[in-house]
Amino acid sequence: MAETSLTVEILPDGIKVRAKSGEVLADVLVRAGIPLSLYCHQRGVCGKCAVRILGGPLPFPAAVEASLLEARGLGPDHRLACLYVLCSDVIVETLPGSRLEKVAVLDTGLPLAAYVDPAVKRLSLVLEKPSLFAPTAAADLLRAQLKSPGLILPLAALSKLGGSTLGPARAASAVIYDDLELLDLEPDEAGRDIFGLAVDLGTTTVAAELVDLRTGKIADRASAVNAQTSYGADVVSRITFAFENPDNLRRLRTAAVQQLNDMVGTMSRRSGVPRHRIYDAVVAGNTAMNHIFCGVAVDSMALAPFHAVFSTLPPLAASEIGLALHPQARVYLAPNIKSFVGGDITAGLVASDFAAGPGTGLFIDLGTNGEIVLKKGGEFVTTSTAAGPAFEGMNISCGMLALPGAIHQVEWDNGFKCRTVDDLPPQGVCGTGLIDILAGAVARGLLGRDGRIIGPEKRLRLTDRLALTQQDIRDIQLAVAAVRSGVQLMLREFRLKVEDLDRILVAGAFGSSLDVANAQAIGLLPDVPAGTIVFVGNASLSGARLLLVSRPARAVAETLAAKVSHVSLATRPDFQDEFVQSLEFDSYPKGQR
Amino acid sequence: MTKNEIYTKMSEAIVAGDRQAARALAEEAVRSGFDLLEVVEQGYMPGIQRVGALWEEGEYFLPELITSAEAMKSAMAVLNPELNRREGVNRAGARVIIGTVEGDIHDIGKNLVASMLQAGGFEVTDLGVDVKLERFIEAADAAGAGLICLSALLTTTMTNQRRFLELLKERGLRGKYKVLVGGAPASRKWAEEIGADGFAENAVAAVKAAKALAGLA
Ligand code: B12
Ligand code: FES
Repeated sequence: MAETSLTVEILPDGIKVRAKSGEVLADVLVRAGIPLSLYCHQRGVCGKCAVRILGGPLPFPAAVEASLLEARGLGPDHRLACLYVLCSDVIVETLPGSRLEKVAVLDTGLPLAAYVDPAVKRLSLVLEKPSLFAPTAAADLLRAQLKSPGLILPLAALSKLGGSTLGPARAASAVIYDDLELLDLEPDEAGRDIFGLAVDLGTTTVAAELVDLRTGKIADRASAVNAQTSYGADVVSRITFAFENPDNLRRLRTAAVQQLNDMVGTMSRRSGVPRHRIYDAVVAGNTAMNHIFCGVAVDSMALAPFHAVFSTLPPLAASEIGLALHPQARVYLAPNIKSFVGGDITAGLVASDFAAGPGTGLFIDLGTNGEIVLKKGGEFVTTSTAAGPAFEGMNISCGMLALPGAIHQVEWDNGFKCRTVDDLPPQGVCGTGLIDILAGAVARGLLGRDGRIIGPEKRLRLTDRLALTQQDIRDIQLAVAAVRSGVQLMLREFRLKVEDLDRILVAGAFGSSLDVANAQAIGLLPDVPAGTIVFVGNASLSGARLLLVSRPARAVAETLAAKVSHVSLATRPDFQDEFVQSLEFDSYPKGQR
Repeated sequence: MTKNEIYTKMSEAIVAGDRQAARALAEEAVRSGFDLLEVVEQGYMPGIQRVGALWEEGEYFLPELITSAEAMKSAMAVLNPELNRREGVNRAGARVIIGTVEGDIHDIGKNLVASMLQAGGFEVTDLGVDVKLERFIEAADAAGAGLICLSALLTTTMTNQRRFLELLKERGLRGKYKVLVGGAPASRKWAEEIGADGFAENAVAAVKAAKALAGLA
């Protein structure tokens, strides 16, 4: 048949596109930019891609197609776009239920959304029985039914294919990973869910979310202080500990795995989602955390020049890691950039769509490592400023993570008026609270710009029980200076000025509401016009969730991680001057506004 | 202006970190034929000691300490050669070698310790950062220094402080040098564990410790 050119009109979008005869309608729709749900990867077994044919031929549907359409309650003028081969002009209407769903990515900041297109999918099917006349192996029948001759079949799933678990009707649901591998074959009961686990494996805090992989919605969350903290407060201490002997590495690894298992247990109990319904996990951690989590030696990261063993890894088996999820579940690690800029940053960059568009931007993570990524058009460079964990409340006498009871917003009204997370009685102060307090204290002359506490008490009283000491202030000064000098030197290295930045994204797991003006007043963030700075919250966790619900995002993350180059500010002769100048609590760059 | 008033001004210049004033007062003292040893002991030293006290009280922080140490340096740059020439007194104090150990590039703390040691009258050779352990021995040997100061800011590179002491023992040089260790992860306990001669928490304490080790305190 000669290929002829024909027209496809797409409603309700009102788009007309050219196509060739013999092309599959689904491909044409995707090419036209329609976010069509191709859940089963065009195998014709999920029914998700159904469309209505308003004008054009309606060939007789095969049995499977007919029953899929019927199951969705769709009339005789509907067909599956992935099976519809074009032979003449058509007018086609897409259905709301056939489009990929969008889900919000960040919890705070930019209103970004992503299409739900997870790596794990559940397909319902009625397994064919090998016939007496053409005895084909059940596994091959399944492969044929799923149109996946290369489908990887693990033993655990194979044994179910032969066994009695599926029942006489042989109605089954196949859980498939990345369209490549069968994770499980389960008796088909309606309403079976698939869940995933998104993890921000921070040096200080571990935060996890249980995510419904069909909708991208969060079923539950949990967070806690990293259980490895008892072996060292920061990454390098953990590396040192692991370096001492192989047993220590195992201890660190076990602590992390155990903690995640506990968190999953808690979330599972609260939400009623059993562990074995969790088929996929994404972990976003810094490079050292990722190595330790996998039990990979970190010796090469202990001393300069600090080499990592891996950056991007193919998905791992959860059982191998020790995570108690579905026995065949997979774990994907957000790709690391360099030894001190890890997958948590990659995840944050992807979640905040940092790489998009032309222009110049800065991504600042106000965590222990204080990573900074600079975008200059299509070029990316990064560095870590080693701010220390002050903003996560560590090293501060009354500091704490942004957990319930943490003072996270502070206003001045004849004294500090503190608001706490969940409005519980104040337990301590978290990062965003510290920033508000310092800005307020400087503005009211309780604290000098040099960081000296004014007055005889030598303390900044917050409540009758809580106060900041002079030493606390000194530690915060060092952290602020590390970030600020890092930003300044990074810009100088690339001959840019703060004014050249189109936008600045600030990430951090230290509270839900950063007061940008206060952060600018103490010199933590540059003094740029309002709106240039956007606080994106725990972007690492949001990124882990994105990588969980969107397979294409993983490819984006991998490409980006490989593209970001690293600069070391360590050898710059102007580091010390810049650092020391940055110790002042005042806005920068100077002479502006 | 009485002598005491001038000494007070000298001390104040150091406390204020006023480099110009510190230098001008030193030049004036030289011109007026003052007893320069007394100028150092009663004019400038009390200044830097006050700075140390302010630091310990939490009043002063890095910027103040740095500018005061700089002011002290500029005064001593005027006074030292004069002292040598005029009174034949070699004020060249005890010689010290300092550096940040192998694998580590943090130098802000080390620089501060070096400045304060200088301000405190030591003759300091600063080897910079990422210094191979052998280099410390070579430099101490070349300068005839008896005190070696090792800075480390990472828990990983801190182990090089231990290795250095082992190296000295291996070479049979342990008795020849005193070793002072410091840097954020180091502690008194650590210093004892690795058999160092001293530890100091900060630059002010470092001067005291160095003086004690050099038998000056
Ligand atoms: C500035 C800084 C940097 C700068 C260094 C620039 C420079 N030219 O020095 C940059 C950004 C390059 C950097 C890089 C790294 N850093 Co850094 N850095 C810091 C930071 C913010 C401040 C250090 C500082 O200068 N303090 C001020 C000075 C005055 O204090 P000090 O050094 O402690 O010195 C005083 C005393 O210790 C003592 N002292 C010091 N030396 C000596 C020596 C003797 C003999 C004596 C007696 C006393 C003494 O006196 C000094 C004055 O009072 C700290 C975090 C913090 N809040 O402290 C992290 C920190 C030291 N860095 C850290 C890390 C991990 C790194 C990196 C490995 C990775 C990274 N995250 O980027 C790289 C490694 C580079 C390398 N190859 O070594 C960690 C170390 C953690 C650990 N357990 O070891 C810290 C603690 C941050 C953290 N919590 O994560 N860093
Ligand atoms: S994509 Fe699944 S049926 Fe068409």
